Amino acid sequence: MDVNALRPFGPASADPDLSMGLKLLSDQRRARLVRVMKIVGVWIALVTVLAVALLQLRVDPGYIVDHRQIVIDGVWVTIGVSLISIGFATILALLGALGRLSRNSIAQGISGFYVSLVRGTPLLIQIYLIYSGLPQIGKQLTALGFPQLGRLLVLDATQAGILALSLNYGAYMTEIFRAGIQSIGHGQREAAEALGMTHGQMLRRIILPQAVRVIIPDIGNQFIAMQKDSALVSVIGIWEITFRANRFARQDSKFIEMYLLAAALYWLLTIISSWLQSRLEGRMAHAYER
Amino acid sequence: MKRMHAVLSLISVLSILLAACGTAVPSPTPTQPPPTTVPDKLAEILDRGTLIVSTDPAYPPQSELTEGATRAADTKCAADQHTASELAGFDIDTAVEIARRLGVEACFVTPDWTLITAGNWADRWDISVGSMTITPERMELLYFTQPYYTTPAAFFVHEDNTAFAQPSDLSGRKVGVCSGCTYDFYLSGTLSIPGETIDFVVEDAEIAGYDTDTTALQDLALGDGVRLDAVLTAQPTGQGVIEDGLPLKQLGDPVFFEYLAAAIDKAHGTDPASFVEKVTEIIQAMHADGTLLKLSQQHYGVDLTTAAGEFEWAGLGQLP
Amino acid sequence: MLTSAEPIIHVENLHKWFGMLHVLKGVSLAVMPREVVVLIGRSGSGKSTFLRCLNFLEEPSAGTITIDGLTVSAGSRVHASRSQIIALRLRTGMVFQEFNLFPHMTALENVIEGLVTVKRMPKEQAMPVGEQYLTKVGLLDKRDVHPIRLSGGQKQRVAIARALAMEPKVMLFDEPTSALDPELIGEVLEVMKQLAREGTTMMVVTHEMDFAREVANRVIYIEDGEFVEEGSPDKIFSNPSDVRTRMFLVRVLHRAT
Repeated sequence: MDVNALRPFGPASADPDLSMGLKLLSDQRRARLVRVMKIVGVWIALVTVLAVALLQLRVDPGYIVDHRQIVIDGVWVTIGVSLISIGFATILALLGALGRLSRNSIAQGISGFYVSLVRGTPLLIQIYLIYSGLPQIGKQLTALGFPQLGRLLVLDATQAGILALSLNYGAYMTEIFRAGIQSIGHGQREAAEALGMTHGQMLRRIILPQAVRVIIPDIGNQFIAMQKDSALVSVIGIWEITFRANRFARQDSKFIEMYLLAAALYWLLTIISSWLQSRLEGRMAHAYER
Repeated sequence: MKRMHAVLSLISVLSILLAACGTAVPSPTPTQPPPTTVPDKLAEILDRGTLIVSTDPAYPPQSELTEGATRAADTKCAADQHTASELAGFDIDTAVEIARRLGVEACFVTPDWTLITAGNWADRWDISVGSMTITPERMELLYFTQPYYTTPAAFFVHEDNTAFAQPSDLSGRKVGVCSGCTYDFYLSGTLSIPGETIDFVVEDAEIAGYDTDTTALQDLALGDGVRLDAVLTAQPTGQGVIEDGLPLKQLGDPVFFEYLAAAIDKAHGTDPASFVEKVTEIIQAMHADGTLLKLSQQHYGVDLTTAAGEFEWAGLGQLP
Repeated sequence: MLTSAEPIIHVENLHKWFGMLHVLKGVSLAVMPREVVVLIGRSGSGKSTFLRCLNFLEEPSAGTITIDGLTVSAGSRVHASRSQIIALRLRTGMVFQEFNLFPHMTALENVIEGLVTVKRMPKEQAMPVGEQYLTKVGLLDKRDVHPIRLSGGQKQRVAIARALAMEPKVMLFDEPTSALDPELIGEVLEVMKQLAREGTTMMVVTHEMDFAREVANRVIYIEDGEFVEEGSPDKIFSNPSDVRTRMFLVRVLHRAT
């Protein structure tokens, strides 16, 4: 059988394998396009179903448009509280992870207790306890003769909210950071030790630069989650998105309208944050591969 | 390691619980008098130039958020406090007027209602002007001023309902109330209001607690008996949501009247006695010169203040 | 073959327990400068553990290690201090079976890492030194390449350069070719033979008997945590005295002696 007789259609080419390869490529591309179209179709269908469901709620969309500003004004508070809290949480998580991995019993004990306690209680209760409980301890301290320390414990709503969120997320992130640090191969540590490095040098030069590849994406994920959890601090009176939506809704009893607006805003924040995060991860991978 | 962790956690939880039980006695009073760099709370407020008022803007027309408000540039209010222009309502107007007569600016903070009624404000704010009912339980933690208005408490049912003709028909039914409010205590049969005898006409109601009255009314509006059979709340609040379009109606006459006053933490760091007296004096003056009556007409369209003005405040016996 | 009278490595009565397992049973050894010692034995015999005790990657249960005049003791009552251990490690360079290069650094950065971080040499000063050692192992053209793009043999040669750059008194090799594909073993052994010819003091755990024949001054057979027999390569491979040595060689070399 002559090889030329087997040649498939496609541009005439001296190499039959090349045109077969090209055809395969274009088939694959078409298949991929079809898949993407199907997914887009599903999304459109779901959004339509959601929209129809929403219309059943006898929602007044005009109301949302007219009164959107007061809820939108809360976006900056939500972002601000979340950003500051994630910053503190990251620091706590680094310390916590090092503590959990430490051979020092005190460090291990403290970090283990912290993680267990904070992960074992609901965030909402932690917010209440920090806001209402700390001042009472502060009062005792003042009575015992430490007025400065006592006054320090009377945090206003914003400070209490940030403290609660930071402590809470710090505990969860501790475990992720710990896993990231532990994922660095044992052999590398031995090589570092054989060179004569101290633990601190090893951490700084070998472990953390690599652990960062696990840690940074996690910080991004946690930040995205925290933006929603920050809604809980509305109970101590911080004027973020949820507080504004909830309180303003009562004026004209337009609850669904305001909650929908709040939900849309959180969703938007999440989409933007996710996009920023994937860009950051892309740049990190690029730098590593160089 | 995991097992050790579990054991340690269990022991920790148990010991913390034991410690909490051990201190069942409320926080011991300080053995020394509070630091007295300022003579008392009133002086502290006048010195500061602001009156920090707590309010929960979940109660139109008592307290609500205003849209598009801007802070005045020359405000003395701290960054996390809100100025009068950002809020509106009967309580807000009353508070602003009280501050004006003291010669200071009114600044607002917005903690949860439960945190306000619990006392122990840690001097985060000076006074609550939040339509708080005077009750003996609350008087253990807070000082009350002269009441500035009264609210009738009434039952509301879904407008489609025909089964109930009067409040006593609700015995044994499911009634929604704001948790920790006087309406909650009324249904439990424990409410007592100084200067009033209360007739508990509804027995054995199935009480459904909500964080605020308006949420309960929303649930009632879903349909007769769907989630609730009735809601007990302040008459103006119920009327307010009916005007907004909720399909509800009042059931019978009001079952009790509440005297609503401003409240001041007993656990303030500096002595609040003169502050309590001064605000009482101001409110009494606002009754006498018709200011409160005018505000009542403006926000409710009726006079809710006269009875409050006649209330015998000294009879509460709060201050020596 | 040998010079100077003082041993550069002196191990005395080294014991190591892992739990209830007695892995090293009081072994002693003296290694002279410029000597090449090869340790052979089956897996589990304690040969790697012995090597790793020399730079305290494993902390001995008892005994003393002396390298170039620095003596460090171990035992239940004596705990070697951090600074002693680091001083010991600065006198040794180790090459691992799994290479253990730092994946987030280039070859050159790997080689100078010890100089920059541990010896606090400025980077400008360290780089020529690193390039010198990379040249020595024949990989200067790979200086800016990350380990992930190197073959096994190349990675191990970079690892050797990294250890050499610290200019240790002795070089320790823990089965350096065991993880390599056969066609890559040769390039690594070449580097090691070169080092031996230059007079580097080396202690090598390996199965490569031809390498031992060519460059070793001494071969030690270890079994069950004890040094069973030691001698010149000719002696050990052609005419071992101990039956245990003979049995091991038969199995490993498929050759009767």
